[in-house]
Amino acid sequence: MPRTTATTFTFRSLLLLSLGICAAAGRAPQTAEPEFKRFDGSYMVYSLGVGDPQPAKADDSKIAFAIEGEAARKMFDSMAPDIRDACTAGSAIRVRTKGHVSCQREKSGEHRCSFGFDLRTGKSISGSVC
Amino acid sequence: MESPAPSDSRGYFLIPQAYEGGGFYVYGTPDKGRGQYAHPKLISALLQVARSWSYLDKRKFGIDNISLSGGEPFNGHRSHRSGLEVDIRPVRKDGNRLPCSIFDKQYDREATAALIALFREHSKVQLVLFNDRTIQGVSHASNHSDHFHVQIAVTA
Repeated sequence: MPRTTATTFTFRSLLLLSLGICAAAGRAPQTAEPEFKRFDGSYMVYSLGVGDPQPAKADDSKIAFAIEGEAARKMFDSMAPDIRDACTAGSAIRVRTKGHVSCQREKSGEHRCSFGFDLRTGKSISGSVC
Repeated sequence: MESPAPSDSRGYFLIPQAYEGGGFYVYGTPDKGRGQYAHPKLISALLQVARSWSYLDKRKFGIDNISLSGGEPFNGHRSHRSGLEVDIRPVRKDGNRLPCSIFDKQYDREATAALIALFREHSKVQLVLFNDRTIQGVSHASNHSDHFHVQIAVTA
């Protein structure tokens, strides 16, 4: 019947429109205002290499950061795609790197990130090894 | 700080911390062996290599991080949670228990190559990461000039 058809068409249109709006909202960039938040992490001040760290000296001082939790998750999510990492290959750990920033998603779903700086030069350096 | 427990929740043991009879010494951060809980197969491999090394050379080689108690995330490492991975210092010419990079004058390439060869001969070793490309059987990885990373397989 014409009326039933019209009603069905209208209902379907509204449903598709609603789904379209929801989908568009899901793709929209986050509108939350940027703000500083506390994060979970650790740091180490050292000299020589992060793979064999020694006490910092006046002429050699570096810092390595290890970030966990929500901050690490947000970093990981922003650093796609995954890369192949020889030291975690086959372990179900997903690794993403950009420059000297390294993030990973553990098999458990936890996220961890690392990065560092040479405190004598300000240069970015790695904060982790294999 | 208290000494770490000799074994952890996985049943993994600390490697010997004063193994004077063989070819290695221990070092690393955190200290006192708190980062040296090893899978039984890795302990076996290390003792076997150390024994073979002691026949070749009077210098001891340095063993660094393996895994933390319970396999907790190891800050400064992307892996080292399974107890199957270990970091080893390159061999120094003077044999001192100090850091050594492949760029140092003290770096003994020949001895380090011999040590890596012993690891590679072990049936369970599946990966060695190290940045001296003149040594056979190693793969390059960033920040691996002051140690080499050895990974063993559980089954092999």
